[in-house]
Amino acid sequence: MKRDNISIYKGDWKLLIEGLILKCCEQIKARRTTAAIFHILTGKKSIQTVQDTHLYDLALFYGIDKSLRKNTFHELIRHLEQKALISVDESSCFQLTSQGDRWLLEHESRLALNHFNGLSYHALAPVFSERLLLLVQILTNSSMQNYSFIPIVDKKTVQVWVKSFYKTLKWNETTYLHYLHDELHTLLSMLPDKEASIFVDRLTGYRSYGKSMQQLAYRYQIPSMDIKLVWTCIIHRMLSVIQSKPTDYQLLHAIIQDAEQRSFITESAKHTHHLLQRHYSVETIAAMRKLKRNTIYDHIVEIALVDSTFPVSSFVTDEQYNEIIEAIERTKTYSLKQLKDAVADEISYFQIRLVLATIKTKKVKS
Amino acid sequence: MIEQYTLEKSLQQHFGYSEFRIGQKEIIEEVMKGNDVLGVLPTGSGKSLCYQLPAKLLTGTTIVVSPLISLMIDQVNQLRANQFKSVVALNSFMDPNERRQVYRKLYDYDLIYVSPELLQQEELIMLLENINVCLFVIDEAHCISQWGHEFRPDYLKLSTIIRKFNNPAIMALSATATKDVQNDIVHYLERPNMVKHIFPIDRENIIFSVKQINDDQEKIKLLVKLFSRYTFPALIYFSSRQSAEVTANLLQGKLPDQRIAFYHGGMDQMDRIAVQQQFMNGQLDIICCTSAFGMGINKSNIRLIVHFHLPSQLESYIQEVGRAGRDGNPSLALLLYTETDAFLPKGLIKKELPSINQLSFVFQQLKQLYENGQALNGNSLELAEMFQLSEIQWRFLHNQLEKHGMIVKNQIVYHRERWRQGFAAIRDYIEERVLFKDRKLAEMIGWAEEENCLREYLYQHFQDSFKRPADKCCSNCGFSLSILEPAHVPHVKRINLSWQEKLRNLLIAGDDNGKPT
Repeated sequence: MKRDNISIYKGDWKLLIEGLILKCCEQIKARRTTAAIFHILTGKKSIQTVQDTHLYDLALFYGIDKSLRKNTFHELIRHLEQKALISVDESSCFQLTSQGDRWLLEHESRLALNHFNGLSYHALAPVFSERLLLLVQILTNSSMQNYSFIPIVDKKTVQVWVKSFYKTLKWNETTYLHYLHDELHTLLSMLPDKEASIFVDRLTGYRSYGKSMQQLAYRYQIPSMDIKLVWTCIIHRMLSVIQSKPTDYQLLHAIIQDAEQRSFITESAKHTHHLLQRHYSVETIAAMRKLKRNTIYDHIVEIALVDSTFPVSSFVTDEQYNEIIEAIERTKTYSLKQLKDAVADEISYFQIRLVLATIKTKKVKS
Repeated sequence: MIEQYTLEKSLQQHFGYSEFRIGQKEIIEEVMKGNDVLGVLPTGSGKSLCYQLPAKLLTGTTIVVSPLISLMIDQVNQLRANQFKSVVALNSFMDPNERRQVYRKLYDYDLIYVSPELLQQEELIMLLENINVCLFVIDEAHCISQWGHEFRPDYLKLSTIIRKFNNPAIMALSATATKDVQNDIVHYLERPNMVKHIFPIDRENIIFSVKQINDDQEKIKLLVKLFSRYTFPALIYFSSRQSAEVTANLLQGKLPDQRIAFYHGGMDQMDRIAVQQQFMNGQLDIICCTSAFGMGINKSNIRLIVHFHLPSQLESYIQEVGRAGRDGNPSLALLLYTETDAFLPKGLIKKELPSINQLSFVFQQLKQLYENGQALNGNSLELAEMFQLSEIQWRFLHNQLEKHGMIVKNQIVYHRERWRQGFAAIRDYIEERVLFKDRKLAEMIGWAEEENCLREYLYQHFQDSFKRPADKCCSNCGFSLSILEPAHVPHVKRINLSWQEKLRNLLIAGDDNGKPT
């Protein structure tokens, strides 16, 4: 069984997913376990992962491979280890080797990793692509007066949304299909031909069902583990163009308009944010929400990560702030444990994390 | 006479068919009279219509228990596409929000499909108690019997659950039920007055052929030769996802004119729908698949079913080849048999049931958890991982542990003596199941190696007689692949279009090809 799995990699260094993992290894400077990378790629909604994502500049990759299985991930890690591109110690902590470093130098530009935009689009991308695929199927079929077909997307939420959207376009199918064609044509022309072609092959129309991921992988000779990432990347690129010029893509923009607003990763943090704005204390919020105080602290760090104007001064004094900054400069680390050892005892982990969150948002801004 | 008239009229009105297929009417009439009924009908004879029509006609809600989630989803999709909208499939893969929404208005549905696992849920049972359940259908009813080929312990709890509803009529359906299994169904459902309608399951228009072959390479060679001569809708069944994938890609490389794809349960729902519908639509010729494909597939002109590997029992074989030739035209069932293939199903049997070592390991772990005061938290996949079992193994074991009172609602209940006895009982039970499955496999091997008529051997386990076709019976009665004369479908020439042209064709140019006026 294992040997079979290895054979997937026979093209060796083409794998986008492996490049991604190596890139994460390079960025994460602290001593962390491989699970940290897994959580970032699969978009785990925990404060630790959110903080890692910001701290190590991995926002582009957050949640871009949600269907990655743990076993597959471990298999990939083992493979990278065998190739001596990373080393993993007995406590599962990883490090990029000099060979891995060279590999990234050589291949990174070709992988075009910077086209991902996970933190912004990890939730929006599937909403957009599923709605669009279903809308195309419904419009093309109803324009041919065919109302009996198997919907390509069977998620109820998507179906309900597309159905009500379709009602606003009804009786003008042909006109809207022309709009849709023109918008997609302009948009896809900005992508490389291969990507545009993959996108079009996935579309389902009248009496013509789109290709499965596996069929696309075969047709375009993309490793089967990468095809979903390639698709995600295409969708992310489309979304960023649509959002930068919404007036040029009115129909496509209408598909995502109601789903765009999402700055917080967890709903719970959003709730805490509301209460903080109404000047409740951490203790009161914890009591009101029947949550632990530490959970509220997690929310505060998350808020600080997203909102650079968030006033941290109510939680860290200026003196403490400066002491933590000094410690970071002195020890040249983001490791919480090392920083905790380097500052006065009364400074808490929460305060260190909060300060890390603020310097991170500032750095991204600059 | 009047009833007959209305039933046929309703059939036309709701489903657009002008007449019933064999067995359907007898079974429907029975439940319309309020009787409990056991129906055994061949695969592909339209079993599901037996409850879909009553669901439309009866006042109240029809519940269908079905073990195959993909089948449920397919059927619901199909019904919805045909304007039967008041239908829903409840299963554990459903998004929780979506499920809550459906729960709030259960009474709105004429037809509710539900998986046996979900039907254990007290919340759901309570909700169902409050609606008018007029008909309770047990699909794949052979699952209730330990002698059926797919025993599902959850099915044993059905009679208790049904009792909570307002005494609905019961319909039990199966395509493969030997006499023992039929008796078990009546016994476990506790409805001794159940009316039986048993129809022969043999299919006259299917030719059976077994080819003895040395290894996989030769199998592929044979398929390449076959498909370079003929093009027709075909299914090739494999015993693993991996080999279905690999072989599909290999065949496609060697047969550029054939349109080949693979299908298995590990694919995303959207990809599964895509491949399935491409096949239905004539966009694909050949599908390499696992047993996950085909349930609920209603393609009438499948001409060839190949088994690349030996199935683990005759029942599943009959079910799978039954997807060929639903239009009544001659079709071929071809088994590529290598003696060493028997190891594959043997391996599968082992994967389904935990070994003695695994059993002791789970017991140790459970005791540890109990001593630490922990409960069993997590879904079945996570728990399976924790106990280092496959999900099927864990489900099996979980059921056993509940049965012996070691687990009660996620809590571990420790009792030294009871655990000792429980361990022994489960161990014996596993051994018994392995023996049973081995015997089933031996029957299958016996068929592959049979020297007399294959048709006779295949059906004698299920019924007393069968129809023998006038010519072309099986490879032991003088049929050989070389005389195969399937309808040759002319090949559409494929042109490589640019993405711009494809986009245009899909969205706009549809205007000028064949728009109804």
